[in-house]
Amino acid sequence: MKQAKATAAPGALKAAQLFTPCDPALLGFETTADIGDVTEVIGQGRALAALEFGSRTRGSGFNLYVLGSPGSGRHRVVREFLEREGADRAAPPDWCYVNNFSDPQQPLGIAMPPGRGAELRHDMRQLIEDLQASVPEAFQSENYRDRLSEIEGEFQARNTQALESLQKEAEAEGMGLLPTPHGFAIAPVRDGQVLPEEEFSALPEDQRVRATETIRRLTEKLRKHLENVPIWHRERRQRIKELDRDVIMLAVGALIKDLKLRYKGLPGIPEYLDRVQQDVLENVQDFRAVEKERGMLPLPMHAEPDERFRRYEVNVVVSHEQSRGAPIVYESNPSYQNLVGRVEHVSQFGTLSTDFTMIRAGAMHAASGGFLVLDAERLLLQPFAWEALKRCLFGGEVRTESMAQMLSLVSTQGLEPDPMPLQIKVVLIGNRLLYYLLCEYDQDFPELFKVAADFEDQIERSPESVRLYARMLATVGRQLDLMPFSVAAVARVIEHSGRLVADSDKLSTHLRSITDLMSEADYLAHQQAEEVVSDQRVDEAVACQVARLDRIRSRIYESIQRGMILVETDGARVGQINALSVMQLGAFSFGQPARVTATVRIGEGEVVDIEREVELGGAIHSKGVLILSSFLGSRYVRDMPLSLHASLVFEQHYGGVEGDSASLAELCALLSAISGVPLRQSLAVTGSVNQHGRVQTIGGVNEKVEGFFDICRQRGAGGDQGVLIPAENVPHLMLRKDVREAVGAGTFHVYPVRTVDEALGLLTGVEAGVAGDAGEFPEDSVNGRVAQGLRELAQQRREFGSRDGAAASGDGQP
Amino acid sequence: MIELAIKRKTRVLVALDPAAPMPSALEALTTLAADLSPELIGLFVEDANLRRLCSLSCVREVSMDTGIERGLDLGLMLNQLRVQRLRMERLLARAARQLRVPHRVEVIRGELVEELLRAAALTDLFLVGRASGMAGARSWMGSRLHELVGTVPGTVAIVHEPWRIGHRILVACDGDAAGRAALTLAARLAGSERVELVVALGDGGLSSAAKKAGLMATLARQAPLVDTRWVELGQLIPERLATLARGEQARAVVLGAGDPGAAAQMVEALLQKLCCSIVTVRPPPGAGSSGSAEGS
Repeated sequence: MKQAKATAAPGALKAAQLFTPCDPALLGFETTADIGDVTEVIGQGRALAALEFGSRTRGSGFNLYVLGSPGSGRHRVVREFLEREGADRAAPPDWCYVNNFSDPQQPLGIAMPPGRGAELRHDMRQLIEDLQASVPEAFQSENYRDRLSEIEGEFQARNTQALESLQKEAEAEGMGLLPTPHGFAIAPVRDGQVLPEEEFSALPEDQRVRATETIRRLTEKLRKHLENVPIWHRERRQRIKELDRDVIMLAVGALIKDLKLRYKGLPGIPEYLDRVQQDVLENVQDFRAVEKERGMLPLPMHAEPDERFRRYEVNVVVSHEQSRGAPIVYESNPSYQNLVGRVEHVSQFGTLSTDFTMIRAGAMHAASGGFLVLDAERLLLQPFAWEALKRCLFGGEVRTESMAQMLSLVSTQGLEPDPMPLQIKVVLIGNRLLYYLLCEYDQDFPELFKVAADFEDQIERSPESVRLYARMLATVGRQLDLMPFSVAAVARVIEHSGRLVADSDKLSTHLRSITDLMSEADYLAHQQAEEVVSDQRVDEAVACQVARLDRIRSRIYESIQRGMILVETDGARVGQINALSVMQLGAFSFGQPARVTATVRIGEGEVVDIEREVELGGAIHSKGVLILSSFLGSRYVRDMPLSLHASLVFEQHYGGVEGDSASLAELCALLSAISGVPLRQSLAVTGSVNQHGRVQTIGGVNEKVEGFFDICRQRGAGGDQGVLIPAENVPHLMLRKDVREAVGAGTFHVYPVRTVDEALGLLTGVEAGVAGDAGEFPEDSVNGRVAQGLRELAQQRREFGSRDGAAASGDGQP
Repeated sequence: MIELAIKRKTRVLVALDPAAPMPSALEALTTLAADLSPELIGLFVEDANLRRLCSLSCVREVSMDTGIERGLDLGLMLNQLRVQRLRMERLLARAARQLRVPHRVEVIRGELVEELLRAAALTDLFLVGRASGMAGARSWMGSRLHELVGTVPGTVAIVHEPWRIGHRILVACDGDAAGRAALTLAARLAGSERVELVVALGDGGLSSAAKKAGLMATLARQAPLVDTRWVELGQLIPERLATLARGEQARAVVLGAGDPGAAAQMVEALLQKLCCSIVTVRPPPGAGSSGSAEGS
């Protein structure tokens, strides 16, 4: 029998290796009141460079997507960066909508220098107010009256002369020109009275004939004259119209000319003012009516603007009158209409009506010439908003239309305002998953969002960065109006930051978590009427945060203590081991010990993952289990088929199992079951393993160690308890103080392991055994017993196969 | 106030002549009769001449609007007259509501001028519309206009369409009782219409300075808020008055009618020359034809 060759068993970690403290002496202040604010963003050089490039480059599609975890302070950093960036830029033009006098359904858009949109609106209102006074005045002027009298007099004289001439001619022939209800008639008269029919009939024949002929002739003259009357009326009306026009031009022309001078050189304004002038000339009765109506109204009514003059309004949808620099718009509700604007309606007598004054700007309008910041997830959740944003960015213009119009769902007449030219940088802020999904599934996305600003979740921990971090904490504390933190408290926060990222060499950039902790510590200090937040309050704040979320963990640990969940912490068992898992419940995660068991029998080389069979195991977990089969076959029985059927199960786990961090534990349980060597139940194991038996890093190492420690402590276990962790996870250790104290006292142990052999040695107390040159393991080693067990299974299978084959051939013989 | 020395209720008669425009006459009525609380009477005369016209088969009517010639039918004409009468009744009723006075409409068949003169004899204010451009044809009173001016014991207003075409009230006054009555009415009109009053002083009666001082004192008492300008016109003849009225853009020319004949001639002449309203005012009963300026 070969002797087992020794493999060096790893020693337990010392207490100092379980935690990397922050030395307050390194920080160099007493309280945060002693240090100044920090202006730079810590550890986000990559993201800031991307922001700088994305915001300054002029190329098409260089919009930004800011990746990072929620709570990492992306919004604040982006906002502060853009404010600095935009401050030096020129304010963009105002954007106004005015009436399109040719087609009111298509309002005209006019770009104005910053602040001048409101000026134009004011000037137009003043113009209309002036016209309401000056137009009636012009019509009351003596000049107008004179000229009107001239026209009326001329027409009257022409008419009068003709009728008087006819009347005189009629009188000379014994006739009269008589008015009738609708005109005139020529009739024989005597003493001003029409000759009665009997007297006319009694006239001698020749007189009667002559009179009839005279009547016919004069009536014909009358007819010819009156035929001209409508023509004269038309001519008169035309001349009055021209007169009106001349008079209005005196009132309007000068005012419009003055406006043109004021807005000289601005594209579109002269043409618009020309159309206004034309429209005023065509609708002068509106202005004349105002004076009369004012006289009729009992009280002056200034509350509501006159509807008749709405068409001269200027709707300044985007005004930069009060702005400095480029606009930065954060739209928290990026719905379709909040992005592209909307056209409002008013109800009038049961119908909805609208005009250009009811066009409202969207965030795209407001941000043009600057930056639009949107939350990617909220944007994608809004119907059609993402499509609208892309359309605007591709088209370089923002077109305000309702969803119904966009989808061609309605055929009723609506407004189609001029699209506004768009010069914008869109900054989407979202999580990483969304970014990668968009890259994968939306072909427009990479074209429109070419710049990714990826925010780090953690930064390197060095003396410099720690000091900078402390200043950042001081700055944030002042921004949140917290009381000063002592240097020890700051150091404690920094340590907690390292724990948050589960890495003693890193610090968390998740600002929300840090500020929440500081706020809670500040609250506790206030409760104690302290003036400075101490490290004790920080510890209490951490404990309070845990305590608030601790209910589920407490129930699980209680179940373990009461034996309802089976976890042993002493003794040794074959095919049974304590694995460690991490349960994540919202913002709180904790380690949960779980029993893993393995059984073996003759088979065809399958290692069955029972979790997978019942669909409680995830793909990564299954992968870890499958690796075990490969490891077994390649390491122990290269020259014969693997002839076992093994089952692995997470006992009393009724939720899903994911991840491969239990694969080392599963392998150890399996090897124990094959070899029959019992495993110490005072130890728990975490770590993944590859096909060669190498132990690999896992996540949540701190929670796992602390989870098993808590169970052991509650049981008052004897002192040889501990946890096996991957050696590569040692830098991640930021364990609790009580764990460190237990390790220091030698009542709890943390073993770093690199290989499955090291783990087996610790778990079994037996040498794992190293293969010799021929590949044979020492017989008394764990590996030797495993190999022997597998060979025996193979032999049994072969024998079983022969017996079975013989029986089969015997059965076949006659 | 118009000084009407009568005890009975003031009667205002509006000639509802279908050929004369009503709206302006009624607009002027609301100004002229605002303080009178009168009895408002609309007089619609179905002219006997129209019936006679219809009986003459050789006579044809020529439409004023279209120049189309057609025969006259009595039934059709009576129907047209009825429609016109109803329309004017409505307008009169509206004016009466505005003045808050009672009104009634009298329909008379007969000789138009005779009937008007008969009704005018009991009238304090007589109004008739005057169509623009129809002055010659519509001077239906003809040579008997002076009879109307002489018959109406108060005021005759021939109201131009539109009423508010000018912006001053011009009154011709030579200081006699009729002139002072005209001045009083003109001052009230100017006050109501918020326009300037122009007084054209004639050279009859007293010396100009004394006359002007007396009239100014009267005006200062009666209409202290009215802007007044005085123009020495010398002889009050139609040509000068018409020139002045045109120059001043007169809305109405107010004349004293102490001598109805002269007033009628003046009215006829002014109607030919002016496009504005013309008002004649008779002196109050018992007033001398050439009393002192302070006498009214």
